Amino acid sequence: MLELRQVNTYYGKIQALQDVSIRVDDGEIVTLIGANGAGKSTTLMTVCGILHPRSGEIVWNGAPIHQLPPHDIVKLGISQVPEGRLIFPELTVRENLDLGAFLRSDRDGIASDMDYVFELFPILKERISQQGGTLSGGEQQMLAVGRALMARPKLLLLDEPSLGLAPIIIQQIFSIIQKVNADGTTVFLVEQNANQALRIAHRGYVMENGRIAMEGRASDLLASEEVRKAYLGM
Amino acid sequence: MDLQYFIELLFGGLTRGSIYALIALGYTLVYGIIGLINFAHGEIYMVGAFTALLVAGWLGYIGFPAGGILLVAALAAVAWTAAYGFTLEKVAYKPLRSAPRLSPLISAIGMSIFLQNYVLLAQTSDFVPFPDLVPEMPFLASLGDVMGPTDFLILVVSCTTMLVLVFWIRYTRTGKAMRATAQNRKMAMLLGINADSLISVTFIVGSALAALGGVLIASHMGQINFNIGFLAGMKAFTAAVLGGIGSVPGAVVGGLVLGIAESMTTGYLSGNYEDVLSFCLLILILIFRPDGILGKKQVQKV
Amino acid sequence: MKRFAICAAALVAAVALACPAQAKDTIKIGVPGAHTGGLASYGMPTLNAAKIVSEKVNASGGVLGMKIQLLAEDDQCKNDLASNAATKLISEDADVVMGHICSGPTKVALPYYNKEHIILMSPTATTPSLTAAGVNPMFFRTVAKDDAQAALTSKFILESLKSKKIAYVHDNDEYGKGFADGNKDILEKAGVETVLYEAVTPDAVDFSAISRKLRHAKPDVIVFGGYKDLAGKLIKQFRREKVNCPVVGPDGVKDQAILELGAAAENVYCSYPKDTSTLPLFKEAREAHVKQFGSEPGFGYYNAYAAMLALIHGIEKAGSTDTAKIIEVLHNDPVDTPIGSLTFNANGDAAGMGLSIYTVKDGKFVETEFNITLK
Repeated sequence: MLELRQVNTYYGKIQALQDVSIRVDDGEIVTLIGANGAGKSTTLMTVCGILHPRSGEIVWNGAPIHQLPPHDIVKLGISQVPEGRLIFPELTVRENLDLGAFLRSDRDGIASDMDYVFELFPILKERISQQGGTLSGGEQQMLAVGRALMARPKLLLLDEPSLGLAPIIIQQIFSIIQKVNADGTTVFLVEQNANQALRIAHRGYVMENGRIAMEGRASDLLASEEVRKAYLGM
Repeated sequence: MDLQYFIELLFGGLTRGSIYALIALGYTLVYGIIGLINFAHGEIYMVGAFTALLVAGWLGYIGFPAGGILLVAALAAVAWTAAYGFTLEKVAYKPLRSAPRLSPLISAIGMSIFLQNYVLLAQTSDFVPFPDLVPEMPFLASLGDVMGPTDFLILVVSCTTMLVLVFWIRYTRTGKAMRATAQNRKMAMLLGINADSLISVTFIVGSALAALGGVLIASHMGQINFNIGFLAGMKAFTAAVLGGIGSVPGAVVGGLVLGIAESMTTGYLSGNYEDVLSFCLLILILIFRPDGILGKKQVQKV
Repeated sequence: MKRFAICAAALVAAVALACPAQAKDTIKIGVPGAHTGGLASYGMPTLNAAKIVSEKVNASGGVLGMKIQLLAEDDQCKNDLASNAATKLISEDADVVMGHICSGPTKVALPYYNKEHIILMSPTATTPSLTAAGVNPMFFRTVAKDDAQAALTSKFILESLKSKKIAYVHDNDEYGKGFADGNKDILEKAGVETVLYEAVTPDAVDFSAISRKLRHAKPDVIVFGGYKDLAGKLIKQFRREKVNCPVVGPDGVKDQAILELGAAAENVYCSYPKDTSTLPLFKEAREAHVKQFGSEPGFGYYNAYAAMLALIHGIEKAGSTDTAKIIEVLHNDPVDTPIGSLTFNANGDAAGMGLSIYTVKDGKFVETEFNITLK
């Protein structure tokens, strides 16, 4: 399980995260919601090692990971589907997926995982030899998720998977996230779309200006007056 | 002027174009992965030539069999120069990776000046003759004198090397990781790709290619001096841009096109216009195809 | 206010007393040239000559009772560095200047010296325009100008090689193009056909195009204008492309670099000062160099030695460093040098030097019988 303890991350002189503490237990779906610019992506990037906290700790299954370089953190079983999908536009769908399994060498495992991904996203199988840049927004999101799954992660991080997608696609993506979680992957989901996120999550955190403002069970947050007014537009 | 003449000029152009291509590949690979024009790359080529010269001289002195000297000298030059490239990146570029774009560029220019003067002081300001190490190739006479032994060597070696490189980039794991890192470094890191070591690999490969070019040219010309890097580097950079900077096949195409254009210009117009026309060609291509011949239109990341 | 004025006056007086009185006690000879860089081997021998001559003269009492002080400045044969060198020498009060080495830098620096009425004598700058009639009355040289070399080589081509078709290849620089053009003017007037006249870039990666063009043009002789490194590269590639006709070049071609081409150097001719190695002053100059530097003198050494002697002779006979008086001596009073007994004509060129054609035989340069004496 993942724990952030009093994490402070800076961009130069600007403090982006202030004393952030978050816990994600095995098998959970935990969501971090907040407005644009609250610090959600920064949180994920700090977990992944792209950014390093100035103080505080990040612990994964008992071991501290906040000083490690990104490639070592991936090796430990944490994969991110970043904001904006960031698929490789000039590589094919297959090549993108292959890269997801970059650190693995078990050919059979990789093959069966690719089948799993095609099961979840049949449209990717159709487009297997197409360049990533030619796919639609929704398809690219599926590719990004599929690519992250190719690493067979223990913890899947998702940064705003619903951004810029049509409602029907969003539904699809979120139900797939639930399925993936049911199949055994822990999920830490960062979202502006609080409604969808809180519906599938077990627990949630609300971030404001780099600080955790609220936390609790997802259903409780969904029902809370503050959250409804601020994030659910009610 | 007849067909024979045209073919001779064509092959002459392919010879020099291959050298440009080998050096251009270094520029394009480095630009592709970290967005930097490595101005010291021409000097890497020069260092390769000098290393080969020193090793060949030493081998000759200790009585090494003549046939193998060139091969061993070339391998030594490639290995040693690759180490230079690796060190160059670690010392002059890596520390400036998050600095504004201009800083590593200036660092590159500084390294270029440093390397030129280092060789100048360590060796000599005069040019140095390079021994004749390429064996005679009588079979070439039957091809109608379109190329000499060194031309043949350059063509064969460059062709093979470039094919191996293209294959390596397209089909191997490291090659794919390099392409991914060039397209989006952050994403590549999130997949577990060690971007730092890949960048080092890029510099090593680019420098090895330039060194190979240096050895080939030293054999071809018969002499080298401390500032051969400047013009060759400039031409090769032009070739890389011409073909589409960042594109590996582009560097090859750019190099060959530039080489042939120069050869034809001298052959049919006048040697006076050789350089001018090359640069005019560059300007024309960039006006009509701003990304270069094989450059890709910037694909929008969604 | 009164106290301030006293302090100020005291300060001025102190400063004035601290400045040394300006009295002339040395003869300053500037020696600008290529001391580093790719063409240093053209410039260092001149510096060596200056050192040897000045040490010798100083040891026997100096010039007009004053010691010679050398002011060496490096210009790497580059125009921009040449003007810096000239400015520096002028600011250091050089009395006369022996240099520069390459024609381009000499041309660039000359106006600076002219403005200060300082005599400039070059041992190796050969471009003709420097001594065009009446243009530079304070410029002299102890080397044959390019068109003198061209006069010799074109005569050689007409009378000895008897060529009918000529190709000219040059490096687009003052020295090389000047030599090619000098030959072309004379030869075209004599009715010899020009089959090719082109420039090449010295640092180019490959010369196959021009070589193959030449092979197809089939000239009887190639006139080459440029320095030794380009000559070496071109001749090597010419021979490889089976362009075996004679190649005729200027004095810069007479260099070890060409000899190292081995068999390819056959049929290469160049102009060079006549061999004066039997003259006693030549022997003395040579021995001094071997003794001090442990090697044979290099390019331009004897010309520089001669220039030093001429300048010193000029100052001695003039009785001062007055430019007009020195020029009077240079024009009229012959001075013995390792390259012959010289005076200088009205344009500044040395009269009394000989020029010969040299060629490569058995791995060495040998003087042929073909020569002229300059007036």
